[in-house]
Amino acid sequence: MRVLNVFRSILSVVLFVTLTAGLSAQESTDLSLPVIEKVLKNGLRVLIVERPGVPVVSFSFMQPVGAQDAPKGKTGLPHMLEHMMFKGTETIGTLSYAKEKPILDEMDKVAQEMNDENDKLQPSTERLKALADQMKKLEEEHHQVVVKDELSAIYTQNGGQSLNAWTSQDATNYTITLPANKVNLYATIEQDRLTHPVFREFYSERNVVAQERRWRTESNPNGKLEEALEFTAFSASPYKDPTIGWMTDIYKLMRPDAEAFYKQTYRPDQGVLAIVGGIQAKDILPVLERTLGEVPNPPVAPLKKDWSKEPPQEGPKTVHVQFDADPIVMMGWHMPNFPHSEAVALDLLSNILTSGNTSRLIKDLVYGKKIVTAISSYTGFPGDRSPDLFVLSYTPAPKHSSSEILAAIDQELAGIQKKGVTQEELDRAKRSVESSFLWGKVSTSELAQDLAYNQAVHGDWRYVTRYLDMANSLTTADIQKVATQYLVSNNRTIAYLERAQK
Amino acid sequence: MKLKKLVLALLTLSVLSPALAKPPVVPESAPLDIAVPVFDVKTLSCGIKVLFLKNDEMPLVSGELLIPGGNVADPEGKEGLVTLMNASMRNGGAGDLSPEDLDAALENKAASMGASADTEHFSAEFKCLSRDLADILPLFADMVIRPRFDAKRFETNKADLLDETERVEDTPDALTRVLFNRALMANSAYGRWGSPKSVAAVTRQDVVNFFKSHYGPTGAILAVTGKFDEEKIFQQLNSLFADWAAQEKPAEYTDAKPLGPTIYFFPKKVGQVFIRYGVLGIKRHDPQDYALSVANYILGGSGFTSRLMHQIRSDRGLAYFVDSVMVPYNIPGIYEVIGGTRPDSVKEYLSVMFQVLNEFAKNGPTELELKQAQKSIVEEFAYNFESPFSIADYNASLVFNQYPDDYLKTYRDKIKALTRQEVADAAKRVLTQKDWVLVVAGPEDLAKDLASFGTVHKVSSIYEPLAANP
Repeated sequence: MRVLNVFRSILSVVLFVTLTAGLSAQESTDLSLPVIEKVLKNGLRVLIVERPGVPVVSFSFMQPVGAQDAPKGKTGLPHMLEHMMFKGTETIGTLSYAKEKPILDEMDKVAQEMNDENDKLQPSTERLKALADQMKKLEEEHHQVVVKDELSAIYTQNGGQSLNAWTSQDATNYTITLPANKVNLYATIEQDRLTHPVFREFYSERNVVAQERRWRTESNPNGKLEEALEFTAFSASPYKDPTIGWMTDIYKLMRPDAEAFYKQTYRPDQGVLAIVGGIQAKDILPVLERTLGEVPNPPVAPLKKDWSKEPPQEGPKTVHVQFDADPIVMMGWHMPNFPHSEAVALDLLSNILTSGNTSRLIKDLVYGKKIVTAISSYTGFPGDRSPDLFVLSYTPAPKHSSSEILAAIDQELAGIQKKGVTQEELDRAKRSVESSFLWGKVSTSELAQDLAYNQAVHGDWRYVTRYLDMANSLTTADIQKVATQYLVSNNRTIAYLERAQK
Repeated sequence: MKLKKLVLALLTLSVLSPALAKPPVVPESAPLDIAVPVFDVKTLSCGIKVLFLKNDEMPLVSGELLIPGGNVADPEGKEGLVTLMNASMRNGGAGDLSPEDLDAALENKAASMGASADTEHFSAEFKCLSRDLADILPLFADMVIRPRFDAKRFETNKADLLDETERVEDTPDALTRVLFNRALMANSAYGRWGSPKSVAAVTRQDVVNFFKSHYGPTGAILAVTGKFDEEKIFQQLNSLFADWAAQEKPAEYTDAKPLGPTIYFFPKKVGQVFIRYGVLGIKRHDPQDYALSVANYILGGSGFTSRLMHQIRSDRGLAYFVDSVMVPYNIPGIYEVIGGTRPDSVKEYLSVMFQVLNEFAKNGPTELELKQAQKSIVEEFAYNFESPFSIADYNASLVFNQYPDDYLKTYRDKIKALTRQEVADAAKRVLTQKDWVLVVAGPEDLAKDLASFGTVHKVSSIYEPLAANP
């Protein structure tokens, strides 16, 4: 397997990456990704891929700040902040910010008093009731000056699709796809949203986030199990806390905290904006410079993300989660995070273990022994800005015990640790990676997110294609090595979901 | 107190906002041309209509074959057969290839292939690199015409489906979907749902027989998209599919009669209550389909800007999500509102939901809402053209469902031409139907809260016979 990696510089801002994969003796496949890169005057990095003739344009605005960066005692604050970014600005979403501001400030005071009361050993229910009434009155008052969801409405009325955002442990992303002639609109609105955001309706939004947590985690067997795997596998790393936050923290989050966190972490000079669609860089770059290029960097030092490192695991860990559902099992082994080359080797190993009917575990456990009905694996859980987990999860077939299934999995892993994988398996995994890369480029929004993610989290969008390069350079010995080093029981945490005993 | 607040307000203003931000001026955008791509349509000798859409930008090809039938073709008492047939078409080997050989032939080339079904059609699809297309097409034809349904693989797939069916009651979303469909689409194949019992009853021979009589080229559409040599591929497809015989059984679609008005309650210990409410929707090609889709957009189909989202989420924080969907079928389909809330706010959630629905049924949208919805829908039309693969799939479903040839060309003008009265009439017609169905999954003690909205039937298994109201 030979891969040529050619960088060519065209103008100072235009870079092309071209990879030519020479798979077998057949015609080679073009894996180029023409990205136009430009850093605006405030440091915001813009990545553009032109798709002539496509009538839409997708935007991905990413900040390298995620759930793991939440201040102590405020888990979920970065996610809450993401919700607040949809609440408008000093001029969008309000009839008069001047009338609104004192109400918002008063709400902060009442919310703080509620927190203080709740923190007492024996909170007074009367006092809490009085404060709740006060908050309700303020909300009614506020309702008079608010224009509901105006920011979303502006985008929707202009054909915006997938106006959304996500927060992960590692990053926060804002996406939208618009008709290709709406770049001006996007740039104008986003400049306003980043410069003058107003986190209105903060305290009622806490309830929405609590609802979200109930829906995603507390009513969902997989959500429950993932959370348990995180807090059991990690003891020092901030990955131990759930992205959405603990319910006890969510109800205590304060608007001033969100404002301070915003100022400290949402910085143009650390952000990335990736744009893919039917636009031309030469037309839109001046527009972006005039708008988003004017967003100031806050005059505070950027957040220093020097979080606790996870110490090596010293023995197997297990956690049991009770839920009204049939059993499922998730296990995780600690691993180095991408762009460490071992992370890529583990990706290929994951592919060899559970991708498709030819993979080892599906062949053996699903079709051979018939002891699981589904099995899958992936790397990079719950993020990959810090050392993370290689995850294997399965659904046991009825009447098969977890010890029987675990023994079968360990036997397969031992086989790889002892004898390695075959060249055929490795080649198949590499082709699968290449094919996923190509199909991943089809959608404008997926490509935009992929570029922005690699730039924001790993520091270079070129990892999108460099990843193929890294994968192609690995040998069967590399795969055997990571299997031996990481997929061992002392490094493993197993989370079991079981039906509660009545 | 009042005075103090005023002083505070003045202070904050002068100190913190010396210059209030000016509202952003959104510039006018240049007109956008959307070139509706031209599909080359050719018919194979066996009768399959092929829509070719060439696009050389990426070295990829996809194919999607649609055949009339679908999950509603499941024989009574053997619901789940179609799902099982699809799984074992891909997994059970085809033509001269054993299951293992077929797996290797595809996965060695990082190609994917599969068979699946929607309510009213079967589908089979492939995806591969352009350079492998000539090798993948024979495998695709084998899977579609000559699946082997390997007995061992069949038994594994059946055991897996059985387990999956038994797990439906584990998640409120999935279990309420089954209950809702059984109750609303009652008395027709649309309301029959695979249960552990019906899946257990399906034998390999049932699948083989069903496949012979139901799977064939009559009414079939194949969309081929990406980078390929059209003339070469057409010839190859023609010879690969030449002897595919027409199916014996034409697809049948019979109207549903809902069990409503009624409430089904499935007690489940979960932190979030799941709620589905609905009535019968409309058929495809209904004269009011444009008007109803705009009505739905305003009511609950447009995310944050919809009335339901405003009232339930933004104003009251009662839900993380609430939306409405309209699913037209060959028969009157589904109109459904889906959402979830905390156990202690179910009553309030339902009161607000009914209030919003009733108000909308009575008065329809405002002139402003209509204008905004029309603008949004017309603008977001471009989204269908995000990639050649997305427009090809969309167009294939339009052709398959017999939408007129100029559908994509005239769509935006038809949306723009709708009046407030037309949208209000469509909303009223659907929302005022008496046979509504409400399905709720949540903690045991909710039953009493639900009783204020109608007769509550407690359900302990989603597959048990459902009581209808007299």
